[in-house]
Amino acid sequence: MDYIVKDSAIHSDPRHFAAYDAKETSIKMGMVREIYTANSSEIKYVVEVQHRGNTIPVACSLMTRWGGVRNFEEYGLRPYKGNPATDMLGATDQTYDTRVGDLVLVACLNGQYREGVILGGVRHPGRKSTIPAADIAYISEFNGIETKITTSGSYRITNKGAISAPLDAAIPGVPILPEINNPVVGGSYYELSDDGSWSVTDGMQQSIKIDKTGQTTTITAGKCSVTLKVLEGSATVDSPTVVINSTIQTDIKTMMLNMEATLSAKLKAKQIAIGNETFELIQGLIDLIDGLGTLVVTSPAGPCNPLNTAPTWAVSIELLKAKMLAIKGSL
Amino acid sequence: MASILNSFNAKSGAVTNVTAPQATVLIWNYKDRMAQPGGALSNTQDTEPVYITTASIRSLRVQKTKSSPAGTFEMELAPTYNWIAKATVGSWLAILMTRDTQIDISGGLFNSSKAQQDQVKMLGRIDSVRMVVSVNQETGARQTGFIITGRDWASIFDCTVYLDPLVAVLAEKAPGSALAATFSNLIINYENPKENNFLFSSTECVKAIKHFYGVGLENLGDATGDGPFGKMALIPKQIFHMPKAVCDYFGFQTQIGLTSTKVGDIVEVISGKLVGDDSYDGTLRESVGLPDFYATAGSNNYWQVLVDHSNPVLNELVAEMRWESDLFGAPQPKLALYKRIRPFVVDKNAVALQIADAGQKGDPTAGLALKIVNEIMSEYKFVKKTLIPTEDVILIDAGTNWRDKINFVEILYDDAVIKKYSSSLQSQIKPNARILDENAASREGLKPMILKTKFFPPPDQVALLATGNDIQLAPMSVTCWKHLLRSWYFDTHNMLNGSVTFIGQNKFIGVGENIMIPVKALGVNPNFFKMMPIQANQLFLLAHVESITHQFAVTEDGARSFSSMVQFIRGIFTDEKGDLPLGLLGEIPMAIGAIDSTSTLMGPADESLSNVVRTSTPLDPDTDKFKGK
Repeated sequence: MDYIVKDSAIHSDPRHFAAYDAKETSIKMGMVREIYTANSSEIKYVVEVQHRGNTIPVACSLMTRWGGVRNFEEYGLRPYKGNPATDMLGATDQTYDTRVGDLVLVACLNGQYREGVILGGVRHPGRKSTIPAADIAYISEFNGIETKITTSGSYRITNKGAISAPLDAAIPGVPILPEINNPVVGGSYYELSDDGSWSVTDGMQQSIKIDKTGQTTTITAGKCSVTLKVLEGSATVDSPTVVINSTIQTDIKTMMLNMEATLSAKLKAKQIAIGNETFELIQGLIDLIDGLGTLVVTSPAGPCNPLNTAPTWAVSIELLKAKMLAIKGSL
Repeated sequence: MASILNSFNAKSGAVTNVTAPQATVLIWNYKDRMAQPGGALSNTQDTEPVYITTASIRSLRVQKTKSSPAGTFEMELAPTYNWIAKATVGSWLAILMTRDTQIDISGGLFNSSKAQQDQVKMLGRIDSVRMVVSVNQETGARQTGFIITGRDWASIFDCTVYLDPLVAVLAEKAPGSALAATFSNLIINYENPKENNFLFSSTECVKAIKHFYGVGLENLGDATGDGPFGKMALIPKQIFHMPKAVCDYFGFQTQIGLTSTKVGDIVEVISGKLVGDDSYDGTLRESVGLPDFYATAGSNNYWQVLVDHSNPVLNELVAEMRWESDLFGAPQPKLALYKRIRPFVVDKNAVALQIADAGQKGDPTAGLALKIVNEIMSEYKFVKKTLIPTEDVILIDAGTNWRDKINFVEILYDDAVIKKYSSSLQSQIKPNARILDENAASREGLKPMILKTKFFPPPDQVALLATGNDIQLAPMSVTCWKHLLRSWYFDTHNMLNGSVTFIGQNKFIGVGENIMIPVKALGVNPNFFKMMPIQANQLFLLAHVESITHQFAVTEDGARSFSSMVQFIRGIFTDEKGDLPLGLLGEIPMAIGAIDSTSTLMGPADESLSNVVRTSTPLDPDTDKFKGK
């Protein structure tokens, strides 16, 4: 016989503490219903978790790849807005494919669903899988930005031009409609193609492409293009108009320079120098004027005065020389 | 007759009372064994009176322990009727036992008879009615008996409650999950305490959950859905009624004085700390937290759900009948669900000293602990106590208890709730959440009690600690509760533990209450505490009722007996008010109620019980003599 009376404060019946000690270790599926800011510092989610046939809200944090102060990752999941008409008990359309909230997997901290962690998502029944039907090894879309990797190895990120997403199906009870994209915005992408080439385009008339196979880099904007060819060592600019604006200096160095204008050509500068290491053309012309000015012409009447003694020399020729000195540059 | 006998006893100085006990069982017997298909609720609840008197009773035993919500009863009946046919299982009954008063049911169960405090021992329900027929193999005589068994009213808690949160009030076309919406608000409000401090106290949780059961769909939450749990539904619909005749007999009312037959309405949660004799401060918010709705959703054991939300580190749940005085001073019974502070404090000054000592040893939470502990301290002496007269005592078996001794307490906080601060807080909580009696552990080895909690002190209690309104820091203050736990669990070895059998009492004694027995019933001797300078006739054993058993029997010669047995714990010595007598601990005056901490204080004269006729002999092991003193 046990003479010592058991104190119920110490010898508690474990059956009565079954709920107290219970741990919910299973992972639950749920739909994101609300986003809210907790303590002004953290985005949290109310996820409607499925539990034994019940829908129970759980306050969830989001699992990310890093949890550091410097190393972090944030992204916002998409909630759905409760709709009394479609959420009512017994509503025939009370299915996930009528709600656009993200469908996620939730695990609980410490075995209790006071606080859950969103581990990731699962396929939303309102969206058909893409992979089996196409040459796609990976595809994702987040707020209208699509990332796609093909089985052949190309990688493309496309801006589909998402319009601010409706929180619910447009028509209650009708499965979620395809998202409406803005065609003016959408279509831009950058891509690493399966041959190693890289391109970025607005999906319309503008692009930059590095062609690894053709060893050519092409920048295209409508009728304008710049083509850089590795093998030929050439750079070609094709454009109805080419404008080069340089506020300080423009240097063009080549062995041979051929410039051709079918209609006109202009060269305008405050100072100009034309020549080579030994001779500058304008200086040559100035020297020529000076030479001509001192030149004594011998006429049949005998030697004449030098030309620069002529009264008009100083008025016209010296003035011309002064202008040539002003425009003269140096090489 | 009884009064004459008692008068005789008083005059003659008899040491026992002679009584003429009576017992009666009142059954509100359901007329039909089960509602017929399509039957209305009123028909299902129709009852008729069935009486079981001493003419039919061979034996009757009711028993209840504190560790389980429901008590049990078993009665053996003579074949005065075919009780199987006469008593419907599931019927409610009242078991009345009295030692010397007349049980008057002349008014009839359905008329003017009312429950009397000095008679009622249990309100229960019949689980089984069995017939036992034995044939004497020598004489061929057939002996027939009936056995009725069942549990007391608190068995309503030991059942399954099915809360389906998906279902809301359909007519309002509210979002599909009413509970979901409500808990969403809870979650968000919890996370944004500055906007709306909306934490639930453990008492509010228990009260709300109590409301789940026995209350109809229409009354869950208030009309606007602003109740603690908003609008929600029980599926299947569980409006649990008690027969109206039962409620009339006991005078059960709702807390606002209305008559009701709904169990959820008439069960009253008695909560908080004791602030006077059997008086509770029900407004106390000793701990707050976020309810775990997973524990409530779906089908769950009702008692388990209540326990889960009651913060058992700091509270105990006890379901027991409670008698209070009505406006006219007449005893009025209630069905009480005690959700009250435990640990109880035997000596509050000792707790303060203990906290001060911890502060001197570097516990940074000592200052806060003193504030929190003072706020929630519930004194042991205030637990309802019933005096058992010495002359009624038949048998006492009391002793020490080292088995349940605890010398290390640690509180583990559930970090899921404080995720934001979990790492930093745990590093602060961990070293301060434990308390060790190093001296005891060095002798006994580690005898740990490691508790976990989902609740924490409310922010207003931790104003000393919290910065601004940062409620998230409140969890750290759970460490302060350790001092209360220490005072309650570290001294079990110095308290008495055992059982006492006494002549059945008229007064209702419930589990979780205290009994007082004049210490002379143990034998007039100072052995339990030598240094206690108080007259033995002023000293009482105050002990906590862990279980109580009432036994009524009618022997073949017609003699009736009614006795009770209480298994008690935490037996200490007090004066008649329950206060600790002032003694000397060494040379320091201290309020002391436990037994001697130094066993060698006793000399040979003390080692013999005064009710044993013998004297010390030279052969007695008197250590003082050996020392030449």
